[in-house]
Amino acid sequence: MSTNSDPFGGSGIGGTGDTSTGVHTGMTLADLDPPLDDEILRVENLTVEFPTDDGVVKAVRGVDYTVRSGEVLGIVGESGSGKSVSSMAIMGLLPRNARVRGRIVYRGKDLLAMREKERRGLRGEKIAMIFQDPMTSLNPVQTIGDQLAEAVLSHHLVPRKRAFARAREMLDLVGIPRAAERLRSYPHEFSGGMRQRVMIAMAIINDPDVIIADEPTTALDVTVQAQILEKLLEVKDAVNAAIVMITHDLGVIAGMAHRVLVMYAGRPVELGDVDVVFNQPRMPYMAGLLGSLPSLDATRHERLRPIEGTPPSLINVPPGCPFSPRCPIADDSACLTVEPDPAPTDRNDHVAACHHWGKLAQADDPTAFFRQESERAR
Amino acid sequence: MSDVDTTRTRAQAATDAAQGMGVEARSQAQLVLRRFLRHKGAVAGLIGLGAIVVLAMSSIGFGPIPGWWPKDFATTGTLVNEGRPTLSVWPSFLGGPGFQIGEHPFGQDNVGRDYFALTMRGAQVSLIIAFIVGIVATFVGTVIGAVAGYFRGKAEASLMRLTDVVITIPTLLFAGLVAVMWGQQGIVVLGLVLGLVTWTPTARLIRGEVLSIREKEFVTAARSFGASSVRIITKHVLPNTVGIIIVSVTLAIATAIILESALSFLGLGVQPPDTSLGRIISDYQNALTVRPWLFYWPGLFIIGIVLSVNFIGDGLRDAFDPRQNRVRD
Amino acid sequence: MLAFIARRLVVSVLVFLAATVVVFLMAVNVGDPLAEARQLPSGPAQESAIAEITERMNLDEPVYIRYFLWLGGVLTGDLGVTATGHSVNAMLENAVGATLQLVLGATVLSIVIGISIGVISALRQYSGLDLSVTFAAFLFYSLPVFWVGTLLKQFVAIDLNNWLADPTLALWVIGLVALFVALFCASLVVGDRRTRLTTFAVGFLGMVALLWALSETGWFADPGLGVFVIAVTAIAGAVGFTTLFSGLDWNSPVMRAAMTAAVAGIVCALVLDPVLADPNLATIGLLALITAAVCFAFGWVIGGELYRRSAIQAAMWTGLFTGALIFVDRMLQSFASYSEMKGGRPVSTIGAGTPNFEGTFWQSGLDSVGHLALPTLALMLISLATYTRYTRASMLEVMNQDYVRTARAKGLPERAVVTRHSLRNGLIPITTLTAYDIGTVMGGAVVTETVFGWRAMGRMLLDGIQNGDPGPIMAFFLVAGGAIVVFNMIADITYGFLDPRIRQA
Repeated sequence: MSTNSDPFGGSGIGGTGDTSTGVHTGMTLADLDPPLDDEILRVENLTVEFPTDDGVVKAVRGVDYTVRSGEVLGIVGESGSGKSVSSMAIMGLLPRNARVRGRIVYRGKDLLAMREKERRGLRGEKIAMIFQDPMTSLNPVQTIGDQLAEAVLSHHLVPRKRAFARAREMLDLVGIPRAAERLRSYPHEFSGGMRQRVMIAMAIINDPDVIIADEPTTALDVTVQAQILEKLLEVKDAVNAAIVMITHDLGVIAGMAHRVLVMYAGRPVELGDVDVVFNQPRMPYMAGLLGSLPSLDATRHERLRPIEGTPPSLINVPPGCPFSPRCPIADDSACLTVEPDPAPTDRNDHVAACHHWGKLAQADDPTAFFRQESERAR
Repeated sequence: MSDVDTTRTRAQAATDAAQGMGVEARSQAQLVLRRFLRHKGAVAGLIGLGAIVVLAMSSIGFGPIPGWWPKDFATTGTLVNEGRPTLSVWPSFLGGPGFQIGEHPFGQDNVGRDYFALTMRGAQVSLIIAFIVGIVATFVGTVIGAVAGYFRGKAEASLMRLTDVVITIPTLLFAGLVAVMWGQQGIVVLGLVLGLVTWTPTARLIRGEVLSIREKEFVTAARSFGASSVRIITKHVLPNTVGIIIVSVTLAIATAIILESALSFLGLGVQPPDTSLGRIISDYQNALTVRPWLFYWPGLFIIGIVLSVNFIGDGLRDAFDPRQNRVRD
Repeated sequence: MLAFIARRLVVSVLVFLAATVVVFLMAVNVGDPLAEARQLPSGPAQESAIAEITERMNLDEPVYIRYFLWLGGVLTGDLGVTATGHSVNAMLENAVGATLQLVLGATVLSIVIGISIGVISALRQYSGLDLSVTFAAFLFYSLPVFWVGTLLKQFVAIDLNNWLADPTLALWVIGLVALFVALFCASLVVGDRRTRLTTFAVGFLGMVALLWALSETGWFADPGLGVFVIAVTAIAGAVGFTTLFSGLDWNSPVMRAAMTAAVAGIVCALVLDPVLADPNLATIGLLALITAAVCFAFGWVIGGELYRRSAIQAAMWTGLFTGALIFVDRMLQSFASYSEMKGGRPVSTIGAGTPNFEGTFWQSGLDSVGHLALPTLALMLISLATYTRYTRASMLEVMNQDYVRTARAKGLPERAVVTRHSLRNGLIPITTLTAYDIGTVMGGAVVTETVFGWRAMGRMLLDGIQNGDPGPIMAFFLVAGGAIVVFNMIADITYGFLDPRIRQA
């Protein structure tokens, strides 16, 4: 694995979001600012199902994690792994036909047991969300000021002037110049990066405890990505919120998360501190993900090592470990019949869902399994 | 290998790559069919329209081909039971006469003509006109819309102004004028001229779609390989508007039936001795209180045809554009 | 924005001019204006008749000269003469009022009702209500206007008049109407099966009791609302509008503002009794303006800094709603006397108004309603279906947009998500539809007028086409095409008003 220089300079802020710089294990936030152990949000055995014409889609199948005050939790996984659906379930924004079970506990209260009115009071006030595509996430026919002030007014009984003043303050904070003037602008007058700043301003305007950021930089240019992530970490500290960062970009996770949850086929398959998961993965899927990244210091002859195959259907999930068809260390017995539950491994505070995590623990370079696999195939 | 051929293959390859077509093209058609068949209204509409077309075309015969119904629509005769319909679907176990067709299932008009044969002739004429209008309007609209959408600048501006001019003239006025000027020469000509005044909705729909398709990568790719505009439009742009074109045909047909019947009702459409559903209603509208069946039968056939066509169109739209069923991660 | 409007205006005028050329070319070729004269026995009488018509219509001039002669006339306000020598101006003056009343009435009603039904249908997607609305829209869309018109004329008008002679409802009618109302209410409420069943039961029983009482007391022969009903309905309206604009809260300033508006409206109705006995249209308009202004002030003052916006909205809507109730009440109270004037047959089937009708403001109003109701209903059906379908589709599309999700993520109540975010965006595409629809309605009006025997613009056009007479045809086109151009302009401006992206382009 690469151990080249850290572009974030240990400042605890930023992330280039550019996977070509490789995965970093140097100084990260996790080292500088260890997470405090006061839990603010706990997800217990969360399942989400959608009935469709073709059968029931089991989008999320039993997710557990906690978010602690002020920490950044990264959730990674490919599309369809359930990472977005599980966070939409926390927000209560799933379509009406979704069946959500389990517990989502915010400061000791179960969101799923709450009445809609009570839940709405938390939405945008205590738990806020930033969406993937800033180009379509703002109402095109309302001014930025109206949309920001509305977020304040829907939770606080204050005069419109106060709400607009707060909106201006927030635009300043997220680095939009001439904020007072820009309040009267419409979304189409902003660039994508600027709109995402507005979305961040909207998310923090009520001083939330948790910000869920669903791939906030995927739709943006690489250079803008870095600025947005930096701004996100900056304002997080300003309002002292925790961030749940959903992404498929391992570079982003490495740059800014304290802990990381890896999801596959609707299940959590690995959870732990970011340097543990990145350096000593105990689930072959994560090892494969790390191996499939290009890195600058790799020798020229070294090829990328993609994970072959595709994830299973979420309608008829086959028995056994869902990753087994693509797994280089799967054997015929348990892997094909028993779906492994996340279990503690040899590392501290680390769980992985693999019958054979021991094999990975013994290897010097867990990603090497995939190399052998692809070379054998050739 | 000539240059042209290489260009074609490469542009085609670019298209396939950009759209994921090729192998999936057939399954796309299957998908559309499956979605269409899942739309209950559309299937009912298809069955309804099919039944009406078969009934209208086969019963009294078409042109030189004889039909199975023994009476024709012009011969007068003696009134049986004041010309009341003899059709009955009231089952005998409920005290009715049971299912029977009888001598004059739809009754007779005041001079004893068989009203079933007359209605069938009206339906034939209305259907033929409507299908001609549908095809002509869709063809003209597609050509104008595609050219206006693909070429910017003067071509687009002048075609869109032309469309604006046509839209400014109320369809009934325009259609009435052309129908009186040229439509007296028979139903085919009437269909053609009506098609020439009802293409504007199709043109606007197609133009909108073409405007967005021309910006897609596979069109840019084809253009960068030097493919001609005609080639790009016919091979790359129009195939991607097939859904909209097919839906337009159904809309145009539904509009045409209503338009033709309204014109004929006003005396501007089909002229005697020929007849159409609208013409029949016009001829017998004053009979509503004394011989209501003369009013109901042609009306029910108009509604049946238009309702079926509209349901088919709706099903097709859903089948080609299933956005509302999208489930996101 | 001004430049945008000016540019659109110039283009519209040019397009309209081009269209007049097209229509003129067809109008002069549609028939032979000399046909009748040619039938005369040949001789000097025939020759002089032909010469007279030729002279009158400039038939010896080439077509383009005739077009410019016509255009020159139009620009100076002279629409020319018919083949028989009548002034087209006079014809148009007699015809245009009734037709425009019919067309505008049908359009406005279709837009208001169609959009409301479409929005409700979209908000309750896949409910029983939604499915029935969708099916009804399809059915209406497939109905030929002349067929429906004839049915309405023959059955609704005649049967309704017969029924009004002894206006009692049979029990099965009461049951059926109540069933439909109850089903409608039940499909509107959100909630579990029990809430729905309760709503259904309450709606059904309430409706049965109401209809039975109305039927037994002979209300239908001499209707009216009365102060008590107006008061209760106005207050219910206040609660409803408050709920719509700021959520149900009995103690909020918004509720107080709306209640004040309702109470003020009722008091005014009592005080203004002499003014309302026989007002004119200007008085009614002035009263509406005053109501709006006063309610605005109520909202401003009572709402205070925190609730100003919603308080003003709720107060103004409540005020205008109360005004409308009083208006309807007055109209209903005149029904008995109007019915007597018409010999007990108030619903008319022929013509656009009773000739030489003299009566109070309310009685003339009822006379218009009596004549317009059925043609408007027939003409509305297609437009209504179109607006319903497009609104529903547009709302469903908008409600899946990311920015609506953002609005929910802010913690806005669903009511505010719909009224502030979905509705405005969903209605933007509908503006274009109105421009399209007006041409169809104009054509439909010709058919409807024919069915109901109006001597209005439809008759003028059809006579013109049959006699090969360009004057009336062009006059019809000036009005109908003009309406299309004007509606297009209005639609463009509304679009720009609703969508800042267009406005600032």
